[in-house]
Amino acid sequence: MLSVDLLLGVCLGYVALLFALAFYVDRRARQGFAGWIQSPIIYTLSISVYCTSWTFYGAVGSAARNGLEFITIYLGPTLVFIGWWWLLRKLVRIGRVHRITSIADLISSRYGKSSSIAVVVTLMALIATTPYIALQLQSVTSTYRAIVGEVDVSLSAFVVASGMALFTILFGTRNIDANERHHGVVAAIAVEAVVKLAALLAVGLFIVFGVAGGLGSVFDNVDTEVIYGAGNIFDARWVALTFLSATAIVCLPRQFQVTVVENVDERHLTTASWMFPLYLLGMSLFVMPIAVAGLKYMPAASNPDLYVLTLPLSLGQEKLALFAFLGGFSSATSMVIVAAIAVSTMVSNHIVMPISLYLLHGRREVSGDVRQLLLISRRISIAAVLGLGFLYFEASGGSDALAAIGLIAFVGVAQFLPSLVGGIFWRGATRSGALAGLLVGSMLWAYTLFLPSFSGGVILSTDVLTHGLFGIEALRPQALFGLVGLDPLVHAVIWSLGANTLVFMIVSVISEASPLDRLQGALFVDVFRNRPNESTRFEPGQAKAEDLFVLAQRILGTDPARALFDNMAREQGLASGLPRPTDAMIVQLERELAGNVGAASAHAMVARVAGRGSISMTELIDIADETQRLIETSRELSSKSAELTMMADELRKANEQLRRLDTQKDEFLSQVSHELRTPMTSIRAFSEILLSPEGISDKDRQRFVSIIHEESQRLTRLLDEILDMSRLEAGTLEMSLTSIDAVPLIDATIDTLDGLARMKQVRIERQIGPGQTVVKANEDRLQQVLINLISNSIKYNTSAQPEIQVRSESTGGELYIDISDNGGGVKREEAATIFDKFSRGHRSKLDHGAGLGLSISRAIMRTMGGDLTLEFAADETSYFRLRLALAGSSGK
Amino acid sequence: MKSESSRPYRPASDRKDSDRSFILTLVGALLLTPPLAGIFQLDVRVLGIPFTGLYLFVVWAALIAGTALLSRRLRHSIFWDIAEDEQGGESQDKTD
Repeated sequence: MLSVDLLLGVCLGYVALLFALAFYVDRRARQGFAGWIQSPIIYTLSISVYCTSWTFYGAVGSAARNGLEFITIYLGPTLVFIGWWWLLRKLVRIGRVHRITSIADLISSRYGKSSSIAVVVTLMALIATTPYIALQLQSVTSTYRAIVGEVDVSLSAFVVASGMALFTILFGTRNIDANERHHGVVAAIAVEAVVKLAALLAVGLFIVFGVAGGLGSVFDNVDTEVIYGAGNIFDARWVALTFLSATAIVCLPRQFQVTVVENVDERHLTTASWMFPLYLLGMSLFVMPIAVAGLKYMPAASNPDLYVLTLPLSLGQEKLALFAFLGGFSSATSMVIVAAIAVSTMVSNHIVMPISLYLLHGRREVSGDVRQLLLISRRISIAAVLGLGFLYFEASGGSDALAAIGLIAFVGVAQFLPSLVGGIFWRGATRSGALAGLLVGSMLWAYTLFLPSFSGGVILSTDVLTHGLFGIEALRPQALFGLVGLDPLVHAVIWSLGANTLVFMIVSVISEASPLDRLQGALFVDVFRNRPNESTRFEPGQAKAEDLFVLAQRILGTDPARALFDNMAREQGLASGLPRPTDAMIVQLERELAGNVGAASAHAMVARVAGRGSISMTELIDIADETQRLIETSRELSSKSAELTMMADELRKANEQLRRLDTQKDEFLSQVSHELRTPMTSIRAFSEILLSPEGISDKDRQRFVSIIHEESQRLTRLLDEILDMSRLEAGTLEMSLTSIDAVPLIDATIDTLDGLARMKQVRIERQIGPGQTVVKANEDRLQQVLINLISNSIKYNTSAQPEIQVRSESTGGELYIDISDNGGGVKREEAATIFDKFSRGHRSKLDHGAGLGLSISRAIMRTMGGDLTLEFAADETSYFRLRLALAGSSGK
Repeated sequence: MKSESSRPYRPASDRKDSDRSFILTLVGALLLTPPLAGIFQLDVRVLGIPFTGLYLFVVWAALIAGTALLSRRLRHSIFWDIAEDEQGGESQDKTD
């Protein structure tokens, strides 16, 4: 028999070792030598706080009662860690980026930093954890009693609880910032993790090889029903348990603490992803053999929950029993310490601190540092959580009912799952949805599972259990609304989690998310798309002008922000630099930003930067960037639509132009065909007459043929003119320009037209002005123009004494050649159209000219770099003026 | 301030690995729960060990092995600037 002194000595020695280790590691970490404590193996071992004394002892008990079912408690976490990439990695990233301190913090942060959600989650965690802590106290005291016989249960439980409180306060609240990792605690629980695994393996190996004589023979003469449990193993309860344990590894406050909050490096997950399931496999490897051996060798009345300890004891292996006791002790203490840290952080941050700050409002300078207040609140919370656990243990009298509390707690914390997973994968989840789901789920959990677990009708009477609340059958806690024939646990899971999830989703879809809610939702769901966080936090009153400037810059753009800040600095009487962040300045800035992002967002953002909240700087910048992107996009869109309007305008103009040109082309074609038709008609008519068999006199024949000849010539001329015209207009007519003297050319032209002039009895007079007369022109073309103009004057002169004047004059680098006559000139109203194609002046109405002469002449002059215009003299008589650049001048 | 370009670049092979991790989890969940697991509930002993227990442990071990292989590959695609953050965080909090 182990002596009390030896057991106490070993226990105290072990605890002293843990204290020393925690102290040493904490100190090393503070000095900056984190080293091995930040290794992935330590991280993995700390996660094994999942294995409490409930699993250390209880797994064997469960195996003895229900066979292989115990394994589900390990399979769920295994699946979660195998799929770490999809859920755990995101949780860890969010935890780091948003400096999450607990699961309540994460859920409330996600839903717009809602304090009501934080309180609900905290209370649920507290309610689920307290009996769990009591269970650990019970396991320590009952195993202690199993070794040394009768003891004062209350006293030993109190001693254990106090010791743990001391340890937790010492190493759990050394730092004020809850986000600081508890290196000492992590080191201690890592050692405890090794001890409990080693202890269980040692007991298992002893049973299998020392007692049964090999793995194969352990199960000899054992009913399959004992191993597989009664009936079908893989039933609804199997699924529910696997699911619950998978949920627990994420949602249990202590698991969240070690997996997410204490994580120092996301890459540690890659190791934990396989090493933690391996640890669990090691923990469960010998559970079944121990249970079977216990059933074989222990008296029927002995408690299967203590086989791990009592088997070695009854087989005379006292050292092994002591080791097993230490393993169970480690499981219990590590769970209690981490759970106390996790829950006290929540209680302190979400319940104690808000109340204290409210009570101390306005007296902050009297009460001293807020940090000090936080520290005290954290320590009191730890003591309170452990005190509650002790009280619960005392109240329940260490009854066996506690054994079931593990799974009940699992279902309780599973209520966090819908809002947690929904929150990080679904942007549409809202605060109201999460709150409603949590409340409904928690109430159903309490009614269907938690309250009925108190045996002896402490809270719910047996009458209520069997006949329902107020005697209403539909309200039976374990057959709610007639859902009968199910295992109570499965029943509770279906009702509480099902309703929780449904209400969460339905209310989320119906309700409107607040701006902060939406914003946090986007930040959480898209945590991998955002930049790694700079994690700068602002203490109250520490707003820096630089930070406000960075924010303004992101929202307003660099130049407007600079202008605004320069302006504000000037108003404060500062010669240079940034303005002081006074209240007035902050209000002004907020107003400016409101124009860009709306009043509410601007207020939230500036308030945060000004230190009135805890969104970190980088998150703000992210919001600002997103806003900026939106503004830029809308700006781009509006500029694009302006461009489109302009293009449409141009297109419309081009279309009008095209239509006008089309009309002109139609007119031109109809005129050309009309002009061609006249000579063609006479040619046809006269050739028909010539072809007719009737006798035609030779004289007539001669006359007809000459008419045909004339008309053909006219046609040829007309076609030549049209050809010329089109070439001139297309700019394809080659025209070589040389320096020629205009005077001899004028003389030659007048000589050429001498015959025509004599016939019409027109006198042509020529006046050559002084100065240079050598011009740049094409000789043939210039003569063509002169002939055209002078012959027109000859042909259409109706005066009794017809007279034509050709004058030349050189001024300003140009030579003018004016051609005028006394034949009535051109009327003013004709001046605008005289150069159009097929236009004829009133003088030529009776003529058969095509009306292309003037427009061709003008086109020729323009091609040569000159012009042909119609001018009016002082006495309203008109004359044509040719302009050409003189050869000496540079010309145009 | 980190520029946009310093975002982690995830090559396609890593996406494939993350898909594999998803499939592994799915296969694991299917093999360890009914109705599929029910097929392996046999009243048979292998070297004296009940078959279903052996089945569960073998699947479990295989999942661990698969995860160890995949995690080694996925480790490379985790972008992390934890060192910077830790330094910043500690200097800020060391006031006690």
